[in-house]
Amino acid sequence: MSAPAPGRPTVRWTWLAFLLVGAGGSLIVLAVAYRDAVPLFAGIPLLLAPFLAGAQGSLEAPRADLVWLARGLGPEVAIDGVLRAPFGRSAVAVSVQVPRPAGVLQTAPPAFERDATAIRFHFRWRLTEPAILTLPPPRVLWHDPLGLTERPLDGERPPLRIERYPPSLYRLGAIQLARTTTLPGEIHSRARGASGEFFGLREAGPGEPPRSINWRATARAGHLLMNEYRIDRTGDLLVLLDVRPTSLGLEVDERLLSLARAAAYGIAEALLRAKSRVGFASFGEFLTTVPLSTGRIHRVRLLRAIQAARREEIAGPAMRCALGLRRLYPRGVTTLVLSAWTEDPLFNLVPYIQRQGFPVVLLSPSPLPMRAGTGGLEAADEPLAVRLERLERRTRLSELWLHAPVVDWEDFWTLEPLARILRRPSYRRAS
Amino acid sequence: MSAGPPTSVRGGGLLTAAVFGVAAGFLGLLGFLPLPVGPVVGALGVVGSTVLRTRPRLRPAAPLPGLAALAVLSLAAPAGPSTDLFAGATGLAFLLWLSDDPLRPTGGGRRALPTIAPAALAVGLAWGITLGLAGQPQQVGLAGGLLVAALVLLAWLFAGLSRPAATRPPRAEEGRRVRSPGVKSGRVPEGGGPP
Repeated sequence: MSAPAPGRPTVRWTWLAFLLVGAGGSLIVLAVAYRDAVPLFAGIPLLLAPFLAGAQGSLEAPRADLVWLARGLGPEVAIDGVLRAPFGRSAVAVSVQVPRPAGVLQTAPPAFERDATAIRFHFRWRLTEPAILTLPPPRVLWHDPLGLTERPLDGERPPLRIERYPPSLYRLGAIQLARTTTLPGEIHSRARGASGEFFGLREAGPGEPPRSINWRATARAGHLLMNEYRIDRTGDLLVLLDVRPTSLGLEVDERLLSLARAAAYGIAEALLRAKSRVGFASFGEFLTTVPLSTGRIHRVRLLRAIQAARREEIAGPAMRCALGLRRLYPRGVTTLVLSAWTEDPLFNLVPYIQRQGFPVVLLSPSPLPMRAGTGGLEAADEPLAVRLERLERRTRLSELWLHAPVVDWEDFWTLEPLARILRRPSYRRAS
Repeated sequence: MSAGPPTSVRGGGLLTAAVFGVAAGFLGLLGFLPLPVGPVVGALGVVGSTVLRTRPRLRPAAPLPGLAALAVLSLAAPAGPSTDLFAGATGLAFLLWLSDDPLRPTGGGRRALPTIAPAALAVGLAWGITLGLAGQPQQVGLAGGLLVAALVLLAWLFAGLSRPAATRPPRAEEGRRVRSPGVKSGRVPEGGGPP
């Protein structure tokens, strides 16, 4: 086959095409060798079929553009896509190959609807834990009816991002973080609340506190109205992701890191929505940081940095991280540390960061749900092993409570314990 | 994860298997092999291929028994107009059987017509030429070989030169620029930096 022109997909032969050409060629060689025309006649169709199938692919394969989106809440992911092209009758010859990432379960078989101009597909998946996934553009291949050739279809097919984090994070933006800006009211939040600068009146719903009812306005209007205030957002949050290797092994480390990435992005997005300033840092051997800021562009910046955070092979000393934060961020910024915390206390970043003047909250994704059932134990012994592991982990984490509040994140689809801790003003324990 | 149309829209591939079996059986009957052996070889090839196609692990090897039977029967057949024709017909029946795989959603005998029909034309043309050439078998073989070589060359050129009819040139880059992420990377020395 001739060399492909740049940007133009070419027809590829499958192994069956090579087999047929080999068989057909052999029959013709034998026919010539034995001076017998019968094998030659048997070989002609075999030899010609791959070339004819390739020619059919060159004529039938159109350019196909894809529009797809991911819907659903929590662990449920519904992917709907439309592949548009003038397929005509060749729609049945086109296959769409969407790779299913690790940790994603299929809850229903994929459904395809085909007509002359479009192929619609629906996938129903379930995530085992929160994650930020980027699905690569699906492979769209034209196949000939004999299975001899295939041809990738050209077209615009963007990757698809799936963001799933605990739903409780959607309410995290209403939390007042510790003040770190000089003047109160410097940054206005989009969130409305019960205190701050007066914003307007709204209808009172059931269960509203009587103190928030504007009685004069209620008397004028004849129905209950309440005051609404614009919250002053003066708190900042720094999300620190620990990407150092642990003794749990590569696979568990990667899963924990994926979980931590999803939590970091969910928390950052919830606070950015309320116009809080959010910074991000990841620490492996060295420190990689994104400065404190807010806004939509910063959201993209954070997402890229969070997605780029990968497990590193060498662990840097905790002091290096703490000093780096001290240099790059203002003292007093609430710091949320995401780490598995499976090693000895000296490995932990908490005391070092806290000594540099940062109030710390720890969020520790637990490896126990990921390791359940992997020890080769019998079913009867498994609950006891899990219980012992949980006790050991709690003992280890309890030592960290001396320095900062700790959230042992075991139920991956809720972060309500973290929200409860952040709501308390007493979490600031910076020395 | 890929998929196509439901496989129930086609038959189970039994009709094309029967066509392939009949063609192979006739070719076996015409050959030098003793009477029951030729048709049995053809039937074994077809049945073996069809059975292998239903086994997921052995599926890739499914065409091999059919191809082997076709090769054995065609080598065992004497040169003559009828055996030539049946050998070509058996090759075409094999392609038809190949296209009608019930477990391959993109297959289908009707869809395979644009591929099989030119091959059938080539067989018919070669058969017509051999009928017209009244000569020794070796001359016929050489003529047929040259003919096939010419046809393959033509098909090659056709596949290489023809452009996809329904494609359009790629559009220029679209979308707005996104500012660079501005991610800082700092390396703090062991002793720490300035406060």
